[in-house]
Amino acid sequence: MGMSDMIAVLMILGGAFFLLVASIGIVRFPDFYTRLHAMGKGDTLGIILILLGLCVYEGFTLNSAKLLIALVFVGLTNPVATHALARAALRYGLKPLLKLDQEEKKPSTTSKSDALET
Amino acid sequence: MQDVLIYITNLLAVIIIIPFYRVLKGPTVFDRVLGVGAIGTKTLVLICLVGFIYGRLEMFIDIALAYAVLNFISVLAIAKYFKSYRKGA
Amino acid sequence: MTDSPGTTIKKFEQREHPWRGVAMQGFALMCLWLVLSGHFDFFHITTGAICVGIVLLLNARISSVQFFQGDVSEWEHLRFEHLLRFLPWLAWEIVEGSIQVASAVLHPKMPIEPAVIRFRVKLPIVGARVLFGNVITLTPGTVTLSITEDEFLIHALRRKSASTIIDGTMPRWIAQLFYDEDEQLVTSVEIIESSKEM
Repeated sequence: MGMSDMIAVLMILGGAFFLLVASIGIVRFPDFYTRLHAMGKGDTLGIILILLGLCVYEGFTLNSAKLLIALVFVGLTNPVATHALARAALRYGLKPLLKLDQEEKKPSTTSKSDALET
Repeated sequence: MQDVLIYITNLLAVIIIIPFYRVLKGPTVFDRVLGVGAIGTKTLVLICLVGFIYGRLEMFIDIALAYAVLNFISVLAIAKYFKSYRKGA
Repeated sequence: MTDSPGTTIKKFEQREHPWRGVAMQGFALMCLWLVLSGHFDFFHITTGAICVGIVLLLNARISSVQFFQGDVSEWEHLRFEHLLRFLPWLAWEIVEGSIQVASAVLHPKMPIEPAVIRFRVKLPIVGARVLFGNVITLTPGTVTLSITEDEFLIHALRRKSASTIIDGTMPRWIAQLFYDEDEQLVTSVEIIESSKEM
């Protein structure tokens, strides 16, 4: 393995780590609006890192140009999708769980959200 | 190098399964859509990696691009659809 | 709108290069065509040029649509020399934001104190506001919830993670991509820490 392959593997591993963190974050965060942070940031950086790593591994070819287009597309659309979901939830009337709400909730039992059960 | 890519692809397949918990359990419908969106963006990377493993990147990249567009449009459409609902109404 | 948009809009009324936006769009579309097609012979390039022309004709009317009053909807004011300084800053912010989310997720107690912040920002160019919304989502600890005219509603993981937005350094980076801006960009900041106040 040459030097560029090492860099590529490191970048892909780093990207995989951030994707893993984003996945865990989507499961672990307490409410919808905090989960948006995991999707908006962790996923975007993870995908950008992995695609850049693949670009480095591929070298200077047409395929890496296509990978760069995919990278730019994801980098532009992932925040927009996050924003669209946030706006829809806000319009729907989903209340975020904020700092003071968390302190209020601690003594009492957590009441289940009554929003759009499917 | 090929082995490393295969290991990472397997790891990614495991990572993709984790947000399914949100899709199945998530208290609101928006959590479910969020989970689906997260799975979709990770699948884009999975397709690229599979293309590298099979050595036919030029075909798989096009599929991945189409998949990215489709995923983005679907999340936007679902968000737009549920925007017209109001809590309790 | 707190103040009339007249003064800021005046700067953009005289369009120095009316064809610059169209040329940029056409160049980007042609690059996309060449990369996606992968053939560089005469037939494919001519077909691509015809398709780009059709798309530009269809797009010509979209750029004249105004969604809010007083908007300047031109990308042609983008200054590329500032873009070169902006992109490394953006890359570092994305990395920093992801590391913060990672540390919050992997911390066993999850030290977050979510807050919602409402503020107004003075960015008359639509593209600048779109960019600013995306940059807020990508930078440490904040996610854009809603944009109405010039009023932004953002969700922050911690109260202090929104400090660079409130003191105006982040909007200044965006504004400098388009024009020189010296005045205070962010006004009427309101921090909400209980969901009953929303």
